[in-house]
Amino acid sequence: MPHRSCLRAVFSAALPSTAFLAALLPAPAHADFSWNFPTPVTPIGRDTLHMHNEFMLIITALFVVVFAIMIYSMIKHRKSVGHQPAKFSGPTGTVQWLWALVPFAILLFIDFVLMGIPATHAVIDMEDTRTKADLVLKVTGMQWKWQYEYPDSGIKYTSTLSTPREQIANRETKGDNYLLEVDNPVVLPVGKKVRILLTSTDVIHTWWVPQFGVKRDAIPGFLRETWVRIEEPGIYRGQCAELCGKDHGFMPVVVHAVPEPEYLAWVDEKKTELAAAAAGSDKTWSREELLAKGKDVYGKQCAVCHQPDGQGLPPAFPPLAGSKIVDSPLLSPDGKLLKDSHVDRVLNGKEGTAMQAFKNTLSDNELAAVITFERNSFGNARGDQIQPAQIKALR
Amino acid sequence: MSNATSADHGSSHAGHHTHGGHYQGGVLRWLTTTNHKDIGTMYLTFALIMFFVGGAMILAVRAELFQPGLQLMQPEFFNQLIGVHALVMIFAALMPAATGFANWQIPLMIGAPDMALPRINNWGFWLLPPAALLLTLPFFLALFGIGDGAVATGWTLYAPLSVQGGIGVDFAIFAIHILGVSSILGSINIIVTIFNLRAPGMTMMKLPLFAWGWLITAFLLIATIPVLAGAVTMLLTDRHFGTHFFNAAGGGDPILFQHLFWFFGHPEVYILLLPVWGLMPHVVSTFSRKPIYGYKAQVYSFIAIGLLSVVVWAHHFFTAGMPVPALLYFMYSTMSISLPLAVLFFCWIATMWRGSMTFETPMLFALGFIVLFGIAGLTGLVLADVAADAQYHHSYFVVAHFHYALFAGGIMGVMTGVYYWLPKWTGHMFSEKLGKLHFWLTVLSFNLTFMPQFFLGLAGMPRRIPDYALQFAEFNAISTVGAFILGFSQLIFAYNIWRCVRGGEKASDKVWEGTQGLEWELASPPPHHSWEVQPVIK
Amino acid sequence: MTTNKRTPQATPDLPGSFDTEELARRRAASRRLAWALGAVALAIYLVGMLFKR
Repeated sequence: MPHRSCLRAVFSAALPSTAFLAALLPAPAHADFSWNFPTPVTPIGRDTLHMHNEFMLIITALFVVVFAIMIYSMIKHRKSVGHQPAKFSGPTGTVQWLWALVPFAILLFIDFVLMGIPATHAVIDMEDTRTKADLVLKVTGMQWKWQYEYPDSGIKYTSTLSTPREQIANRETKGDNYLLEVDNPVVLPVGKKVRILLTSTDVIHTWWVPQFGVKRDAIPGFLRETWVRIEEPGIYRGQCAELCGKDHGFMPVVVHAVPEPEYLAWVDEKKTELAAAAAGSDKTWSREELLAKGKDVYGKQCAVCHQPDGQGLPPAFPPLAGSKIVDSPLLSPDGKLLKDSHVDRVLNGKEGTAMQAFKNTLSDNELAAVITFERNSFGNARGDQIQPAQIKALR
Repeated sequence: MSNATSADHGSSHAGHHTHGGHYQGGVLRWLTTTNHKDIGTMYLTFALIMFFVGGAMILAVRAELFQPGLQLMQPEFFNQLIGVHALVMIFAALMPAATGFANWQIPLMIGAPDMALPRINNWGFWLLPPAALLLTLPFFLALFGIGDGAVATGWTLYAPLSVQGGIGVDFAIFAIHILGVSSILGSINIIVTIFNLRAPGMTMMKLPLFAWGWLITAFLLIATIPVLAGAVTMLLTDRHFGTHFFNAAGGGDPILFQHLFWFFGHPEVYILLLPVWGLMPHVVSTFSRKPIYGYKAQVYSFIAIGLLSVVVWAHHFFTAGMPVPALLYFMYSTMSISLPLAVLFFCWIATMWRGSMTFETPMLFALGFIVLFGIAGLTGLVLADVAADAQYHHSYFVVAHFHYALFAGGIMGVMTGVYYWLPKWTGHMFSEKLGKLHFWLTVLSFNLTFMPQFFLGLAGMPRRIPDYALQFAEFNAISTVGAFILGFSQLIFAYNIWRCVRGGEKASDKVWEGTQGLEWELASPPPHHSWEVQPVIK
Repeated sequence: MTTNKRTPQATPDLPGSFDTEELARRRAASRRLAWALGAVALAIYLVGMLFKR
C-alpha cells in the first residue's frame, strides 16, 4: 500500500540517521566500530570533543523534532485516509505567524549563542600559540615524510613510514600499527605547552593528530602555528590530511609523549646519535661501506619513486637505470657543483617536480652513500664514488 | 546515443510536425537543433551517461577501499580516479542535468515558445562532449605511454601540487574553461529568457519557484565561474609560462589559489542545489494537492542564500591558518546560511501539512530528499564550527557530509524532477513499480554507503587515501558494499527512462492530480514550438 | 540553419499577447542584456586573474 511504503521510506532514512546522531553521545570506543573521536589528551582536544558532542545533541534534537512533525503529517494528511487538502499558502493570523517565526528565532539562538559562543572561546584559545609556550617544535612536510626540528636543542631528523611495502602489497600480514608507524617518532614532554611551527618544502601537507585535536596545514614558503599541551603519556598516531601526491596516505605522524625527565634523556640521546652520524662525514669511507649504506638509504628514500629496480615510473619519476644525469661527471675538476649533475639533482632537487632537495633531510654520509650506490647499480657502472667530506664541502 | 533518442523523439513528435520538410532527421538534427526541448533532452541524456561514467570510477575506488592494503591499483591511479570522479559528477552530470531541466521547463513554465537565444543554447550544449573528452582522454593516453594519466590532485586542484602534476592537469584546465563557457552561455540565456519572455501578466512575483531557483543560480554562475577560470589560467601560466602566482619563492602564495578556487567553489554547491530547491515546492505541492506555502519567503530565501553564498568561502580551508577575526567571521557567516535554508525546510513541510498526500515515485524522492538533505544541512552547521573543524576537515566526515548534500540533495533532487516531468516530456507514464524499487534501493544503499563514513571521519580517517589503518576496515567494507548496490540500482533508473521514452500508458496534459502551472496546460508531450498560442496570465 | 527561421507570432492580435512590435523590442532587449552579461563575466575573469595581493 502506497502510504506504508512511504512511511518505510522515511524510516529507512530517519531511523539510522537518528541512531547515528544519538550514538555520538560519548560511548566507550570499541576497537573496530568507533562512533566518536578517539580519547583526547590535550585541552584543545577535550574542548573539541565536548563541543562536538554538544552540537551533535543539538542537531539530533532538531532532526528528531522536525521529522517527527513531517512523519506525523505523512500519516495524518493522506488522501488514502480521506484527509481533505487545506488551501492556505502562508501564515494567516497571529498564531500562525508565531508558528513560523518562533522556530526561526530558536535557530538564530542555537546558531549564534548556543553554538557560536563556545565555539568562539575555543577558537581564540586554539589560536593562542605564543603565551607561555615551554618548547618549540618545527614540523616540515615533505613528499612523503615529515621532518622534525627542535630548535632549542639543535636536533633535526626525518620521520618516514616504516610499514614494510610487503604488507601494503598484501604479501605479508599487516602489523597492528599498519600505516601508522614510523622510524623516528616525535618525542614530547607531557604537561608542557609545545608551540608547533609548520612549513613544507614542496606542496601543501597537513599535520593531524586526532587525539590532540590539532590539524594544521604545512605550506611551502610560509610558517603556520598551532600548539599542544599533552596531558597523558602515550603514543599518539595521526596522518597527513592534505592530498600531496602519490604517497599522501603513507606519511603518518607518530608522537611519543613521555614524562619530562624521559624527554630530556631522549634529547641527549638523539643529539649524540646525530653527532655520530655527522662525525662520520670527516672520515674516508670504503667503497663497500658506501654501497651498503647507499643501498639502505635508497630503499628508504628513493625507491618509492625511482623503484627498487631503478626503472622509475616515467614520465613523473624518471628511471635511474641508464640515466644520462647519473652517467655524467660527479663534480667539476676543482670539486665544485655542476649544474643539473647527479649530485646537484640529489642535493638540490628539481624545481616544479616531486624531486626534493635531499640536502635538507639527509646527512653527508647518507648523500654520499646513496649517490655512490646509484652510480654503481641498476646496470650503471660509473665506477666512481663520492666521499661525505666532499658533500660537506658543497654545503 | 543520439540515434536511439532521435528515433524515439521522431515517433513521439510525429503527430506534431506541421512545418513540412523543415526538419532534418538523424545526427544533423541533433547537431543543429535550436529547440529548447531537444536541447534539454541532449543535456539530460549526456548527464545520465556521465553519471554512469563517474559512478564507474568511484566503484573502482570503493573496490580498492574494500580492504586495507593495495589490491587493485597504485596510489597514482587512485588519485586520478577520485579527482576525475568529482569533476565528472559536478560538471558533467549534475550541472548538465539541471540545465536540461531549465531548458525543458522554463519556456513551458513562463509561456514562452523557446529560450531567448536558441543558437547560443545549442552551442552551450555542444561544448560539453568535447570538454568531457578532454577530461577523460589522459586516462587513455597514459595507456599508450603519453603522459602519466588524468589530473591527480583532486577536483580542487590545489597549488603547488597541481603545478607539479603532469599533462592531466593541463587537460583538466582546458576542460574546465570549456565547461565554464558552456555554463555562462546557459546562464545568460536563462536570465534573458526569464526577464524578457514571460507571458503578459506574469510578473516576477508570479514566476514559478523553479524559474526563481534557476534565476539565482544563473547569476551565481556568471559571478563565480570567471573567477574559477581566472584561477586555473593562473595555474596554467605558473605551470608553463614562468609566473609565480602560487609560488612563495617568487613572491606568490599557494593559499591565493584556495581563495580563488573556493570563491567559486562554495557558490558552486548552491548552484548545484538551487535548481533542486526550486523544483521541490512544485512536487510537494502537487502530491499534497495544496498550494505552495510561503512563495515569497522562498523567493527571498533563494536570494539570501545566493548573496550569502559568495561571502563564506574560507570555511573550506579553516586549517590553512588565518587570523582569528577571519576565522570567526567565516564561521558566523557560514552558520547564518542555516537561517534561509531553515525557511525552505519549513515551507516544504508547511506545504504538505494538512494536505491530501499520495506517494507516487516523485513524491517518494522528494520526501527522501527532504530528510537526507536535512542531514547534510545539519552536519554542515556542525562543520562551520572552526574549533571542531580541526577534527572534521579533510576527513571522511566531510566526504559523508557533501555526499548527503550532493547525492541525496542534488542527484536525488534531479531524480525527483525526472520522475515528475518525464511523462510530460515523453507523453508516457513510466513504470511506477520500477520507480518505487529504484527509490528503495537507492535510499537504503545510499545510507549504507555514506553513514559509516561519518564515523570513519570521527575515528580519524583522512580523505583521499588509497589505503588505511586497520581500525578503519569494518566501516570501509560496509561502505563499499553499499556503494556497489547503489551503483547498480541506478541501472533500474536508466532502464525505466528508456522504456518510458519508447512507450507506455498515455500521459494526460495534467499527468498528476494536483499539478498547477502553465506547463500542465500543454499536451504531453508539448507541441514543437511549445506555446504556439501565447497564454495570458490573469 | 533552417530549423529556426523566426516564425511570426501565430496570434499577434489576440488581446494581451505580444504584438510584432513588442516582440521586436523584446528581442532587441534580450540581445543587449546578453552582451552586457557576457561583458560582466569577462570583466570578472580579467580582474580575477590580474588581481594582485
